[in-house]
Amino acid sequence: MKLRLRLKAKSDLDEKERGRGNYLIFGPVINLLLAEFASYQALLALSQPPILVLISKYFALQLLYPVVLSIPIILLILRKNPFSFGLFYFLLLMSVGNLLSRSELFYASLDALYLKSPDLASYLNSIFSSAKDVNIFTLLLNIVWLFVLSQLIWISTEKGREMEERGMSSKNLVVFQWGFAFISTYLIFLIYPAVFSFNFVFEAPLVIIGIIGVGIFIAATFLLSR
Amino acid sequence: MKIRKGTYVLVKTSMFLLVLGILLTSYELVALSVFPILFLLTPTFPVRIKILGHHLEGGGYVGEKFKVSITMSASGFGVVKVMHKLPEHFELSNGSNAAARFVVGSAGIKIDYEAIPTKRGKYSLGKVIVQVENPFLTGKLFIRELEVPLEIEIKQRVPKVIKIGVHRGIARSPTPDVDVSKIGVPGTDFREIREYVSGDPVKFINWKASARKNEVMVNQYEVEGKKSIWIFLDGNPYMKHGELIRNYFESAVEATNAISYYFTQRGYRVGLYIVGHRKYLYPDTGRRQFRRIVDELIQVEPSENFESLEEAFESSKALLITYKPLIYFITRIEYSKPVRAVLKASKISKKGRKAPVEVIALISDGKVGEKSKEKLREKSEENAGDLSELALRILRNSIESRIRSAGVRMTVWEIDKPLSQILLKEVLFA
Repeated sequence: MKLRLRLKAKSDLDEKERGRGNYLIFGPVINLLLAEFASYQALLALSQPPILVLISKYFALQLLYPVVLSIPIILLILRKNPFSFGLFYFLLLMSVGNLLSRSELFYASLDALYLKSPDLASYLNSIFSSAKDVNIFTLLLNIVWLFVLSQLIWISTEKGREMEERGMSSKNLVVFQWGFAFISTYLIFLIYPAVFSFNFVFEAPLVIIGIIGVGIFIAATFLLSR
Repeated sequence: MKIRKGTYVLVKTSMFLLVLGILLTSYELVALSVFPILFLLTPTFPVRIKILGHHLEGGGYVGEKFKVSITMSASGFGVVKVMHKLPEHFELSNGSNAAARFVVGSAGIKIDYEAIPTKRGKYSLGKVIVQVENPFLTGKLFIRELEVPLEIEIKQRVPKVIKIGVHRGIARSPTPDVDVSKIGVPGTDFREIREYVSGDPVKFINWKASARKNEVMVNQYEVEGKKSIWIFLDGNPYMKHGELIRNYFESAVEATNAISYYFTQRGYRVGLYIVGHRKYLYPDTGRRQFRRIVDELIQVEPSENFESLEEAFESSKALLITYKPLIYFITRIEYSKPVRAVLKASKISKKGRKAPVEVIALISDGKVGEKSKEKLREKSEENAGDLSELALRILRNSIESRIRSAGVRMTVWEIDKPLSQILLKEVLFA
């Protein structure tokens, strides 16, 4: 009888452990997949004309693929979030090279560079100014969407583990949260391009827009510091 | 205000995109910076929680499992966490007193667990804490409490005491079990003839003796009932020493429980004085009296104020003179230094005979309070704890020998050992 009870208790424990283990395994794996997709999107953004022209002069872009795609796997092996903030920053910085073709700041820098080395400045200008029509908004949106989704999944997984450690029974809570996060982020992801394809024309002078920008920057710093 | 992790992550992402967008004057990045912020706009919807039923089964004694199940219904939308608040002296043994659910529309939540109480007392289990948040775990957290009419009374299990040592003080009979008390209902055994006092029943008037002496005389009979027991339970602050569950005071309460149970079961009158609280219970007999003592002991905790045993004796002196009881002092002698109180107590008998007094001295083999000692060691210099322990031991031995030399019986109880074993040993030695 005792043995049977002990076995029953053990099987209950195993069941619990199995239940616990499921989302703790799937959470990082899903994040890994999301990170891989995002990395691929970043590489696609990098393969667009102005940067492609610039990079392919020195080495084959294909060489970058295994390096970038292996970063999330290394992070997972190191038991870290495969889609961490660091990776997100890296992917975004990798992609924004193509945005330089429409950046006033970039052309201002080229003007400054022109005084020092006119050949290089003219060369860069010829490459970037010809790629003003390249649009990588969709690729960037993909990366941001995947990152936000991965963060929501990671937070709920961590929270779920915390609750389990405290002995709280959370029946399928984490899985439901994942489902909800996916559905809601995906819906916004679908609507987003339609909303931002409207062309807003601000009649306000640039000084005002600048002041608004600085105000937002200060507000963001204040919020993040708390 | 503490920013939640989900909020922090989304704001951080958005700010990074915005700052990068401003720096690069990129419309795309500025437009993307709104994307994470949209999730912060998700409000925490109200969720209605209703308690449908509750059930409490078992328990009642320290160390005895009890089972609680609470059924609730939730309607609304969001992540709901519920927790049945347990007092600090309860240990969960099975299940969980907290549950979390993702509620869409309506859902049932059940809390089912088993717990073990580790300390006596009357506890209220009437609070269920509910926490509601939105599914992204961002935004405002709604916390509220629900009431459940659940209460539990945890008693200390009375240790089985087979025999307690013999004490002959003013006893007329050689065996204490039939020792008669000073006051009580008159029986049929004749004791003496004395002068009539107002209030004496007419049926006791001895007419022949009255005629002979020319004044009203009455027959005095031996009263029925047994001797009284008076327990001084030391509840001074120093009794708190030790671990939360097992400390000197808990042991003293256990001893009081055991002694009062033993004597009330055998028809003795048992009275109690809680030193430090200046509280007492008049001597009485029977199960009802034991219940009264237990009820008092369930709630009592070591006092914050100090009261010496001598003061306690003076407070209850009138009662002690009336009842001439067998007196127990349950204390830590190295702190209470009960010599004077014990000597005074043993002299309450007028006829020059010593009243029966016994001291139960609580000591530990060093295991109790080990944690506090460790803390003490960390704070003070090395070996300071050992020295203070040695000083206390010397003091205890000196007080012990003074009490014994005054002819008062003393039982030394190492509180990690069973009480019945110690009391039985005393009987065998006696």
